[in-house]
Amino acid sequence: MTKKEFLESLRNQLKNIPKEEIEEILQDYRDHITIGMENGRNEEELIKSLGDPKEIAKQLNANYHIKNAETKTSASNIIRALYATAGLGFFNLIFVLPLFFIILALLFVLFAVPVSLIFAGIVVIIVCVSNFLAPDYFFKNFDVAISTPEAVGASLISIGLVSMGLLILIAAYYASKAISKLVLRYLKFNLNIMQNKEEKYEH
Amino acid sequence: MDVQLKKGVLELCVLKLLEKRDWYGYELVTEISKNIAISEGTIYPLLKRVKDEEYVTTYLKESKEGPPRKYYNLTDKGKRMSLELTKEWEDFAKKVNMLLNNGEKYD
Repeated sequence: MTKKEFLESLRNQLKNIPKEEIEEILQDYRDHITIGMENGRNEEELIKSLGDPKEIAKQLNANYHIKNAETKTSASNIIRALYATAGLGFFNLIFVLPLFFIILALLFVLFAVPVSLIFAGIVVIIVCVSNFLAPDYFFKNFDVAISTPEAVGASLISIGLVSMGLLILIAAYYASKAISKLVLRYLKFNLNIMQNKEEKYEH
Repeated sequence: MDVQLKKGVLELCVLKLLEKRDWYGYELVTEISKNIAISEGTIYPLLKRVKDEEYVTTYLKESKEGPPRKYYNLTDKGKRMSLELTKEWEDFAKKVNMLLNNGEKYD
């Protein structure tokens, strides 16, 4: 492989990384080869000892997507990071992805429950208050009459529901943050495992 | 040697070298691959990662010949990490040695 082929192959394998970062990466390798040749090594040997550009790109992709998911945490960025890290071959996406989606579904429930509690509570409060302000209108249109003690009782219960919903929502927020941190830490741990030279050449 | 070089060992090597002085990429790579059999190209992703983690900063310095060298400088955060990783490594090595010595006893 020539220097040009090496750099081209590396560039082609870097996925969804901003242009400036790609240029910086390629510059590092370009410099490495140039300096190596200044030191009397030949191009082919230098490139051989750099290793497979595909393997290098996998690491750089995983690096970038984990970093990106850390600064801009979202489900899609975490999935991208998962996918990029799986490329390193230390865990299998087929096993990890379903687990990830189960966690995602649980988180969805954890958010849906408090949101419905809050919504239901607010609706009841609005009904009670409007009934108190305009009882005649209510009676005429909906054929219901809510007595004041009933309205007060229902409102109090609803305030309870809304506060409970808010508390669960806060808990869900922290839980989702903790879980994404945990997932990212696991992915980072995978970055730290490196195979040695001989093993890599077997692929 | 067919063991996987595990968590942080390579990172520790890089940080340790940087404790002594600033190195540029090519120097670091050749120094490490002198001792550890690893594809030289995989050290650059590691260097990028420790830079992203703010363990090192980089600066360019003109060279008498060829391209300007990109030097790596260890930050205070990097020094703390180096200390932590050294401790972890020594702990790990101690336990392995203990196991090895016990093994001898059973022979």
